[in-house]
Amino acid sequence: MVWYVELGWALLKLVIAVMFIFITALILIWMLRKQMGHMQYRRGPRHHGPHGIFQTVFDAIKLLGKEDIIPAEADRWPFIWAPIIIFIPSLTIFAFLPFAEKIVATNIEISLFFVLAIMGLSILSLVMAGWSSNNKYALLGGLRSAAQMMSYEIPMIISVMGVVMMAGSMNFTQIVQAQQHMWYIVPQVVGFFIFFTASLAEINSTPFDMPEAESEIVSGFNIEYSGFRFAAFFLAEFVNLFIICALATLLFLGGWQPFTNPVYGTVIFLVKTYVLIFIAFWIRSTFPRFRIDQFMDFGWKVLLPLSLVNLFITGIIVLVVDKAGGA
Amino acid sequence: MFEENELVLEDLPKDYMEVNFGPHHPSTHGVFRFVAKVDGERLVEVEPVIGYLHRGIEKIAENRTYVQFKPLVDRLDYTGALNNELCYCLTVEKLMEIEVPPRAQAIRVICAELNRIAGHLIFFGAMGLEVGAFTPLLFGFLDREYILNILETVAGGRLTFNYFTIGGVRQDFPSDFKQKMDDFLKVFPVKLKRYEELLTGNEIFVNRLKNIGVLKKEDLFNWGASGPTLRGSGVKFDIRKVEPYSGYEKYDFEIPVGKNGDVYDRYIIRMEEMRQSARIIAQAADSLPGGEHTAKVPRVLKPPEGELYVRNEGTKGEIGFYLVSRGEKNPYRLKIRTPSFSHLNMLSFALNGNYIADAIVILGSFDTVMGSCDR
Amino acid sequence: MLGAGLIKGLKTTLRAFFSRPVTIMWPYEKVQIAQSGQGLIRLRMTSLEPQVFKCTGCGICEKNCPQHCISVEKKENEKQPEVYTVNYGLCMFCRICIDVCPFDALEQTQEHEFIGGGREAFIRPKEELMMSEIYIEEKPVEQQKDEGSDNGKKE
Repeated sequence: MVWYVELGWALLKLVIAVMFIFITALILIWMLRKQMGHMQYRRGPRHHGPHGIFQTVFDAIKLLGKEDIIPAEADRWPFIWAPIIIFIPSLTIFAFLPFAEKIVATNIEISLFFVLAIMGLSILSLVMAGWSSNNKYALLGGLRSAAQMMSYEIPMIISVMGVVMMAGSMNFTQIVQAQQHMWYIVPQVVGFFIFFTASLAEINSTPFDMPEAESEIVSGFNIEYSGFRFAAFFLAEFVNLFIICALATLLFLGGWQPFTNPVYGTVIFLVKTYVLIFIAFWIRSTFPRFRIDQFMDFGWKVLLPLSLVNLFITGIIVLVVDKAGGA
Repeated sequence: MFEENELVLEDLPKDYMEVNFGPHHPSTHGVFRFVAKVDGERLVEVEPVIGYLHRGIEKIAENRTYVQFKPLVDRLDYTGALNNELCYCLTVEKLMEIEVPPRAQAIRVICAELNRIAGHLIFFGAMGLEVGAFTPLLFGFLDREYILNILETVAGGRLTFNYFTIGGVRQDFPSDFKQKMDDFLKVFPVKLKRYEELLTGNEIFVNRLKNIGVLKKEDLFNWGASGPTLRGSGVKFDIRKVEPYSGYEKYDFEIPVGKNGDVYDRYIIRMEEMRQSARIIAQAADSLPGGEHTAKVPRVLKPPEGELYVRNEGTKGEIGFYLVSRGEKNPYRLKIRTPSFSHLNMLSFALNGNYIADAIVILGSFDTVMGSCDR
Repeated sequence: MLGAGLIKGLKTTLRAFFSRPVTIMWPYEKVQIAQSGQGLIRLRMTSLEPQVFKCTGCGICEKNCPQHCISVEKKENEKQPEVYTVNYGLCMFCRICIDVCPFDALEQTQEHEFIGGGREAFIRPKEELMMSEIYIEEKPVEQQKDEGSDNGKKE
């Protein structure tokens, strides 16, 4: 096609993706407040709109109107760029997630590999925020988050390898198509739990939210951020949660199966993702948080050996089944 | 060859990072500040700074009469206000040798124990918040509402009451009190079981609290600890059993005692104390004697000359009033001994060497309230 | 089992999720306060049309208030207070004034929602402190006291 039509088409897809992400973040924040409220015998927001669905919009507008304060002794450029950089991995990953059989922004051969590689970039932005704030609480929070995210990348990636071995490909569409007869959660139960736990640790959600532990270091690395920069960190956390749950749905819960129709496929994909998001919020409102060294113990001494054992057993079973099928 | 230029690693000057957990902090129980020197994540030196809530109550006491001063005593430990009032009334009654009728004594016991449960529910909520769970706080405050509603019909207030008078109580129980008490006592053990399920059995919570902040008996005796903090280390000392006051010897209850002296024991002791308080209330409400609700006292109180010290078991420890009277309308000197002040003295040896996260949990287990510490 | 405590915690929260919330939607629904709850303290009236207070302006409440927030003035040979001002910014609702008044001229209502624009708005003169109904002298009624069982009497 002509080059400007191609460009316009790509820009339109980009705009739709970004709008979808922000609207999803707003919906998720509303869902968290309502769900956590009902789990604590109270109602969540109620006044703006029926059942308070416009509350987040008004909160974002309020945050936009606040004064933009940069501390005098802070490092200016990392301080300003940290909330922008935190969105880059999320938006990039979003381009690779398929919602239905043919609905995907870009489809490459190794999309899972690329997604897992890009996810590690968000560590950079948290450390930048922690260091440049020139505040001891923020420094503690930033360093904690760097240690946490690096040590939980490994079990997460290894637990996904079992799925890759069973499906035989690293492309999301092919992995979902390989789950036609049985969703991968059934043979890979351990892998699913490890992936879910490790990815909750990746995105700093309770019970792994030491970097922003409110009771000790009062909001950790976002202590000096106010106004829309703080809103950027806050929204990014929920966008990451959506991405994690979407990944878990694609890899373990069968994506858009059993429908191949694009509309029904998208709907069932979103329903499965929102069930996982409900479970993540449920965990968030019940459990206390770990201490940093218990948390490192858990990651290195429990999750990593479990994921290696899972990989080993899956490999043996796939080999045996192949040999038996071939012979 | 290199002897003169050799650097010995121990001689290098080390500089610890100084972190200020300031008066505006979500988990230093009120306006309390401590300045900590931190080595990585471990605390090396802790210096507490208090006085942000000082109101000069002991000086005000020298310019008010005994009856006028009584509403101010509520505001010392505002989470369990009736225990403070009870101690003050006992002090003045002992000095003037006033005999309190048995019905008033039973009413006082019921109200004080209800307030103890309310204070421990705040502890439960705050403990959940220290370790990062939001839900126990709201559960604790929800159940506290039921207790405060009962106390409002009886005493006329929810946080500060001015209900006990010197010689008895201000007004009698309303007629539907027994019904409300029975309803409450039926529902309360179920709620306690829910709290056990939510927080006490949780593995993450137990790992956060076990073997943290172990305090030995000798240290606690030296620093004057009392209440659940002392009982957590195995000392079976409760003023309600050792020097019973206001009719406590008639009721049958147990004192929970811990074994290890860590934070988990202190938490379990307070949860168990709530059950024992409910037991006392059940016994007192069943066997409420008839009679007057206040004794006859003169209009203007002028106690004889003398000085005395009376103590009782408050929500957080031992509350004591030392009263010096010269025979006038106002007290000459009133010194108030509160548990929070003594417990905050212990910070220097209780917090050193721990992680920051653990330090916050240990501070929460002392259960201090700054109105009581600063007076 | 290793995760038993965690699962029970999740069950508790789920049970709360499906229960009825306890929120009272103030200001659309108000909270009912008991008869003896603390609120604004008002002067009793014996008649409303010519304003006759029960108070005689003796000043005993002024002497006994711990916070010195009442100020009473009266002319000689009159039985009504001329100036009766209470500063509700200082009052701590301890009800000592009600207890010591020899004429029973003060009563506690349950009004607790008052807003003022500045500290002067809380200084209320006697015109704003009137009860809205006439006080009718009640004969001392045998109140339904909560008589205890006999175990107490034997002590």
